[in-house]
Amino acid sequence: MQPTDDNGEATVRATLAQVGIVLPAADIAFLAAQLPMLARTIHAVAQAA
Amino acid sequence: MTGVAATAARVRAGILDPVRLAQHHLARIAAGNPALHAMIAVAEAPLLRDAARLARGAARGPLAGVVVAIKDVFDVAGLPTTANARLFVDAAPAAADSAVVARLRGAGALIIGKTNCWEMSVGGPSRNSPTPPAVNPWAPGADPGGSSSGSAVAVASGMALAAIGGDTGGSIRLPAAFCGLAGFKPTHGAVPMQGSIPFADSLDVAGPIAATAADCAAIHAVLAGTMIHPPVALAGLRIGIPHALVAHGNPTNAVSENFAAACAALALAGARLVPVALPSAPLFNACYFLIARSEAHARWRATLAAHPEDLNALTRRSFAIGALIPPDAVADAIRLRIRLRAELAAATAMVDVLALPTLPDEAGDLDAGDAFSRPDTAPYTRPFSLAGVPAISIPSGFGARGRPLGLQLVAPHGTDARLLAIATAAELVLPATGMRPQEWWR
Repeated sequence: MQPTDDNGEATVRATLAQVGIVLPAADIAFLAAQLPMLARTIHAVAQAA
Repeated sequence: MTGVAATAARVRAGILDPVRLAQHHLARIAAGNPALHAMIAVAEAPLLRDAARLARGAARGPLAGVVVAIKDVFDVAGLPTTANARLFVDAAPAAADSAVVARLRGAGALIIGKTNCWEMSVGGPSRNSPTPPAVNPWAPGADPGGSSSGSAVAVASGMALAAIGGDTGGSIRLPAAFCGLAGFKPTHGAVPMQGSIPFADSLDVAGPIAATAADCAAIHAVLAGTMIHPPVALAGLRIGIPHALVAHGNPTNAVSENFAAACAALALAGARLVPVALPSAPLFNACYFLIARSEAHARWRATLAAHPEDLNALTRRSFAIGALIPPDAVADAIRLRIRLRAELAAATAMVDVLALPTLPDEAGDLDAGDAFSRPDTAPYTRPFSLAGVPAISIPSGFGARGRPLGLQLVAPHGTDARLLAIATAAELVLPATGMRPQEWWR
């Protein structure tokens, strides 16, 4: 999941909204901060799979 | 303290009164629970009723009179199952026992109540959950680990002789290690999970936490419906050391020294230490993270959408992050998991067990916050959850702050009873088995 906005929060909010989940702003910021780690994890697994 | 098998034997022989046993553990709860928060609910009346029935000669099984506490994700008839979540705090009492509780009762065990845990087995330790975090009996303010935190604290403080925990990525082994106990994660699927609140179905297992591996063996035999394996001698056993995985977990000096001392003790008893290669060691935790989070999200997505305010922030975030994992990434993780399982099976085929630390550090303080929500934490337990193989943590000594450390032993898929027999032999040569904390909480 690559963020398309400045800090990823809009990406996170939109992705969660697609499955009907609305979370507080602090949760969105936390999850957006995880996007780089998540991208690295997904990449590592994809390369090895 | 008398162990599980000896306690049951004495109850069966009429030497020990199960009512007095039950009263003893109730008194320990009254003395310790206000400070330790190990128990969420105590089933005093049913416990004393069942103990009296046992005393009158009701069928006496292999766990006769053994007082067991149950993590509050497993149904106990007559008590609500809350997973320490506001979401379930008003749940109706369970109409029937979960499969594990039914098997325990069928073997004569006495169920004393429900133990504290991290919210939904993931969101903790958190002061926003209905019951405050359980406290490690080894030091005021110390983290007992999780998510089966109350199960370990209950046993370490004598509130129960044994407890049942749930383990998705280490939730039995971690609190057992932090609290100076043995904690056993069975082969995935060996113990039925009906009547429990799941986290990630392809990873979740139920298992015992007790003072010793021998106690765990007695409980697991009942949970899995198997026999206890005959004793195994350490002499001649091949113990594999996965050096790359140990190094990848970045252990503290105290953990490294303790692990070396434990290996030396096993070697002195005649075991052969064999280096084992796990070339993909760094990938296990990445793969685990994608599968666990995506499964939890799929399971709890609708609940999270409907009741976000009824879950604490750690739980919400843990369930929500799975939405950010694309389906292709989940498919990659499932494919990689097959390869990693094969790699681990090849490594364990050359030895009797693997040995490695349970955790890279001793327990920290509860105020340090959430320790296990990141993909690079619990590096020594998650690989074996991913692989679905049996693993046990046994006490191995103490860290720089005087808090317990654990040695983890891992065996091939389906060899649970033999692993427990090997751990029973190993704990006899390790220095920390059976040690108890100072009772500062009384």
